[in-house]
Amino acid sequence: MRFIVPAFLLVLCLSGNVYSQQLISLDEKDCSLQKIIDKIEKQTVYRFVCAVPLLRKAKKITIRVKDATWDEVKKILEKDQPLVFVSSSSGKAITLRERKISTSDPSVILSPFISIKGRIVGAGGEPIASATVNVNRQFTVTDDAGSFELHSVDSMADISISSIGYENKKEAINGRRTILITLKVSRAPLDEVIVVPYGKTSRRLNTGSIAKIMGNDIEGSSGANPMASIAGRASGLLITQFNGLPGASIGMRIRGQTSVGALSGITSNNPLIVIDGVPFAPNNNNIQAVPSGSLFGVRGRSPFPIINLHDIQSIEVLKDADATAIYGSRGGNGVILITTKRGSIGRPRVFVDLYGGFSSVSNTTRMMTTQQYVEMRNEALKNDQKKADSSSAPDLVVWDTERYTDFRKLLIGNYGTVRDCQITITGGNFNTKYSLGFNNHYETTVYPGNIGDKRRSVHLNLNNHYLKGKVTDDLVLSFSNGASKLISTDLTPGVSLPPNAPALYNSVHELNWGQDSVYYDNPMSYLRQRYNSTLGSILFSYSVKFSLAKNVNLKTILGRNSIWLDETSIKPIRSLNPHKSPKGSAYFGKNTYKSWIFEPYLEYLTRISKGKLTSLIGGSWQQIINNNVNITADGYTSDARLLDTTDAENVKVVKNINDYRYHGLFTRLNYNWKDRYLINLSGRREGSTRFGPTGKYGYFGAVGAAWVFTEEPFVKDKFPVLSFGKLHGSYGVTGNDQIGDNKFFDNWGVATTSYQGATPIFPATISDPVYSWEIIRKTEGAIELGFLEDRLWLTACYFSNRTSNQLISYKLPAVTGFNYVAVTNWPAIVRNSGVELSLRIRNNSDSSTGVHWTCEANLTIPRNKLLSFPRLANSEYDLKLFEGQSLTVQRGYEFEGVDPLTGYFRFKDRNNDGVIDYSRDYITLGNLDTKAYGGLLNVVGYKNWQLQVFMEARQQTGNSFLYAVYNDVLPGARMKNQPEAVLNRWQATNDHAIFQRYSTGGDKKAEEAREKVIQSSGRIADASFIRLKTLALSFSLPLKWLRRLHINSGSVYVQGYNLLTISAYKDLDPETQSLNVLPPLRTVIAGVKVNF
Amino acid sequence: MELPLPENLLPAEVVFSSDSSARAAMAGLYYKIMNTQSLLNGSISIYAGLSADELKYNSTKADDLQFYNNALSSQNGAVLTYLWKSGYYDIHFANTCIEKLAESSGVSEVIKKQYTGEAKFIRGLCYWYLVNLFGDIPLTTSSKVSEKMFLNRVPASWVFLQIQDDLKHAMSLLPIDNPNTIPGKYAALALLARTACYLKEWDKAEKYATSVITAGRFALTSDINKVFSGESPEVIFQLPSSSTVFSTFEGFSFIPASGSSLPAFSLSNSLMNSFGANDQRKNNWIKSALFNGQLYYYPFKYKIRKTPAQLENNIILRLAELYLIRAEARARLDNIPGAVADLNIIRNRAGLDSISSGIAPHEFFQQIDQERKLEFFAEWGHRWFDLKRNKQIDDTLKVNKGTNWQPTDKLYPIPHSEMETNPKLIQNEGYE
Repeated sequence: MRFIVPAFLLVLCLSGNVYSQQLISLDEKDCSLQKIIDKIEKQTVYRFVCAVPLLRKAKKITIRVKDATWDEVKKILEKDQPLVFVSSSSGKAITLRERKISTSDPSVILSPFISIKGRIVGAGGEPIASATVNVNRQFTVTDDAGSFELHSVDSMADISISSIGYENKKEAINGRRTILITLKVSRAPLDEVIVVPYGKTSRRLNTGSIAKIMGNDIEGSSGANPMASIAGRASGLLITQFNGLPGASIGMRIRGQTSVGALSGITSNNPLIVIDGVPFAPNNNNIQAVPSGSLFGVRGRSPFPIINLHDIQSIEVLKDADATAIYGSRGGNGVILITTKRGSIGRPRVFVDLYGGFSSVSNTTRMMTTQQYVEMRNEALKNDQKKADSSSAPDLVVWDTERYTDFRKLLIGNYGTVRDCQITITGGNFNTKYSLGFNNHYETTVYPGNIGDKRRSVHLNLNNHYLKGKVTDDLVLSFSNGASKLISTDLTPGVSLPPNAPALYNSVHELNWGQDSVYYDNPMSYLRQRYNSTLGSILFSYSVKFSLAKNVNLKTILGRNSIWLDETSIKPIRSLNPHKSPKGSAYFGKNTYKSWIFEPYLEYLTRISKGKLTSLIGGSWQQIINNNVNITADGYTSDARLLDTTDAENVKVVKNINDYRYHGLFTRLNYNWKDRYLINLSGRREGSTRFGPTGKYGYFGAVGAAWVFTEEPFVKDKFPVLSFGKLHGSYGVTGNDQIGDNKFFDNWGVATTSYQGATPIFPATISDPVYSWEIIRKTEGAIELGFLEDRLWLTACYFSNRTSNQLISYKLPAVTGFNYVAVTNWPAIVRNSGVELSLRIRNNSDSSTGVHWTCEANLTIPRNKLLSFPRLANSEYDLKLFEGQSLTVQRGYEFEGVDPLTGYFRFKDRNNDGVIDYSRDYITLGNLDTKAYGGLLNVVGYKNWQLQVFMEARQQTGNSFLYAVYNDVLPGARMKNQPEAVLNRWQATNDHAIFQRYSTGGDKKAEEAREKVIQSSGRIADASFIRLKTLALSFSLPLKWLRRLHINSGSVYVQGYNLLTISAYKDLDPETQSLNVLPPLRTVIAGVKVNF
Repeated sequence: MELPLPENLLPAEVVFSSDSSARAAMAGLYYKIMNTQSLLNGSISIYAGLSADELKYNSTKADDLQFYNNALSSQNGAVLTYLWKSGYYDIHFANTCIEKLAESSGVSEVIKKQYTGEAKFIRGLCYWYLVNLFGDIPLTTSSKVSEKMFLNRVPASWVFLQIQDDLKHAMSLLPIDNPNTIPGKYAALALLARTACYLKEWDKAEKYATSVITAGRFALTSDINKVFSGESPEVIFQLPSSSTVFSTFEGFSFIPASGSSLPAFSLSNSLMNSFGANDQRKNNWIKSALFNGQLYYYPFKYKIRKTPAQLENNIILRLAELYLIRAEARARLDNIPGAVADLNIIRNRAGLDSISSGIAPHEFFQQIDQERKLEFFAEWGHRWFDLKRNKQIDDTLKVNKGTNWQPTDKLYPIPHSEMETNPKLIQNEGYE
């Protein structure tokens, strides 16, 4: 007797009672039914399915038969029993059932084993694929049409369905042969879908460390860079804006800086960005190719503004080894998975979102007025014992000392405008779903004049089912095209022009270059130095899934990503001081990325014991070709044809081609034992052309495990307040391959002159081709707790990542012929460890008051430490890095403020030798790490109103205001205005001032003090801040208004970004920390959303 | 998974894939030697000249003063840049050529032979000077970083074996009829002769010197002013300048910028006093300048300070040396008449009388030393190396350089930064 009948045996049986000729002989007295059934099974092919409790109900039986048929035996056995025997259609399987008194449909009894077919759909009728269907431990999984089939299931059993992202559902089959079950989308945080590499999971079942940001939360956004808008939204992810221009590069770090080489730019630690399964070709790299300076600043131009925020469904931030090891050498710095929006079933619906607004500089430094400036200049001259004459002080002698221009207002004090229009059409039926979005974005700068960016983009998603869901595919095609008409110089430094500078334009509206042969840099001339560019991108992602057999799927992702940037930057003669007989120049840049990826993989679901095993095995083939050409043409004698290099005197062309190829094999085994114990093994074998012949192949892997302890009865019963509890941890090995391409080749230089009848070439760099990726060993432990039906959700984790095999350029003995090798692995170890906390409070069930409130908070406390660096003293990092300190450690003199007697900055002479000397008087000042960072989001709704407040906070040390001032010139030096705060200077003996005595630069002592102060403890300051990043108020239009307009839903909203910054760091923005770059912008927009 | 070679890079594999690019590489080797001051361009004449008793330093560069005062510090920038680093760069260059030519399938056999010979000659030449300046040195014939990161110093005798091996290969690989602006068979033979002489292998020295002298390709010019010209028939190997600043680095360094400027390097009194009155070398190869009422004599072998045209080249090997090597070798082999004949060829050209073949051997050796001192003053450190190999250095320099002289000054220090990057190196005595 078996309690479970293997399904496949039953399937084999044909209909018709072919087993009715089996004969039974029994001779028992007062025997248990169980024993009798055992005997029958021994004699015949009949197999019984009986529930133990039912067997216990049976009375003792006395039977004596010889060569009887089953029907005869059955009658005897059923007599006076509360039981009946029910044969399967083939007759072989016999089920013991309770005798029911009244049954309306006798067939139910007669045929207890039935085949059922069904579909699992969502509330909107959309099929739910990969849902688990369970009838009495007989399992299957729905295909992409949401369909399933189960054979020979007990017609009276319950069917239970579970699917990630939906609430579980259980209902009785009750004899139905076709079943349609509708699942509700789960609102519980536990069942929130988490996108993982090559699949998805839920918060409940996830074994790794993944933060999720919903696209809806960042929609609208502050500026055009979607990645900048996720700052503060996820723990463990630090995003830094270096520049207020929306197109400028941003810093991205997941769990800290892991590479020593990143300090000098040899390596980088950017997370891997993957959009719909396709790696984003430029990643977070500067895409600017044009060789001239850039208004985007030294870090250049970010590629992300070509991504339309409206297209983003969700962003997953993958942090620990469990989540990232499957990406091998690309995953060491963490991974950001962007999933774009998908179509949904239903009649065609149109969503429109329109907004417009203004932006202005959020935090500008107040500069001195003309009177203050003149006073500063005179005082400086007096201090230096100089006389003001036309050579030492033309600004005082030649220029009008009454004139005043507010350059801050003039140059960066304008209002930029922003306009955005998004139209999305979505709909579909069971077989085809679609989503088509159009976006038009326009943004101008805070500079004078009408300069700015525009971008148009189209996003298409098509999802099809073929062959009854046996084959499904998903196509994403994004096209984006942008044009920028900008200038090639950031005007922010112009804020420090002398406020009494002559009029910018003369009487005939021509640029004024000065007065009486005292020239100055007319900032308006920069408006004539245009930087124009076009930036385009195509992202194509096609995934197709074949259900090869029950529980076996073959999936393939085919992706292509192209990006092209075309830049022109001109410096026409008309933008240059005519008194200096200028010549024009032009710069051209072309930067293209072409990448493709092909990743087929097999997925197999099976059950082992009481657990579910999901296994995955696949391969990756990837290529990225980056083509970068820049041209410098100068010596133009006319502005007429600047774009034609034939008119240039000198033309220099620099080409760079990087071809990156990557192959990999990956696997993942995930075992889930009753949603209680989970173990996840992932691994990858790969080869990458980033590395030389001996270093390109390697293995990576991780193990993650989770224990959902609230599934344990002893917890469940004792702590009813605790609705969910999970402990999880992971350990694994990942790599960092961000070393650039082709560094393992030695390179020969070419001489500029010929020699002995040839163009000489010679070894210019030496390489050590044996280097390989940096190895990052990640360890993590975390606890997730849900209280009060998960209304309060708390996650806490500790991580420790150790990066070894550091890629650095290393000082060589000259015997090798060179001073440095381009790249070598060094056994230095950097550790990033930290604590991440996140909290979510949701209260959206209170319908009586109409108030709902959600609060999400996250906090990260990271720590960075150089654990060891063998032979540090002989490396280029000597005196820059120290074992036991952070990678951003700062050393310098001990600053003692302004000496009240002399008026110069004073520094501590630590060894009292009377000399301030770096080798003996330096101390460790601290480091520039962000000590803690986080975000706080509150969403409060009342009836039709919703208010969203998002704040970002950061505790950090940064460059001080003193540094910003003195890193440039001495206050009082010629032609340079200073912030108003610099008025607090030393003037006379016993003055206690912040700034030292003014000087024109002619005072050697003042200049020495300036050089020292920027390498002293005075150069750093607490730059912690709390920023009100988003304040959004929206009002949902009442339905009765909308119905008349045939609108399903609609809302109007106003949003403000960077409205307020609270910081002890005065006079400058605490994030950009510089006088010379544009501070972050403050933006206010108003918009309307409707859905037809 | 192999990538096509990147177009914007020029790795060694590409360089040595065809005859024409290999030719560009060889041009590059000489170009780099001649583009600026380097081990093989000017440095030896200047620094070894300052260290010995022939050059006086009149300027203020701290590095140069250390040479003159025999007070070198291991931090001396010139030792590092112009001797050690420069020499090992050229060696790396040559090693790469030798290695990659051997591996190459695109370079024709004839060219391979020729260029391998040239590279081996240059490598031998670099090691020759390094070993004579520093004593035991790290020895590498590899182009791979990993194979030369942490090398030990090897005994000087091993380095000489490598030099001889390289030169013998060069001799067999190189044709006899190369123009003298690239190394040929006779350049290799000439350097082999010198090496044999330094190693006191007199029969070899005699044999090698004879083959160069009797080659019929080189001749002493009777016009003493033409000895250092580009067309000098006695040149065995010379390199034209690749710089736009100077024509020879010696000419550029020794000849003062104008008639009124102080010569940075002037000839020592002891040297000036050694010349006989009729010595044409004194009259033609030396010039004087009056500065602040004082007369300074400076080397005037090369006549051109800057570079109007390539009329003068950096002469690395010339025939006169071979006569003096052979004279010395013959004397050591007890062939005094033969030795005297060779010596007289040089003396006569300088306008001096012949010496008699009846001269006593010990007197002859003094004559040889004297003749070498006068013929090769301020030229390729001959004086410094001769004093060292004849073991007269301590006695001579104690007299001429004063109390500064220490016996440990015979060897230059291993550069400090090199010691730091390669902990296996042990410093020369006197510099720890």
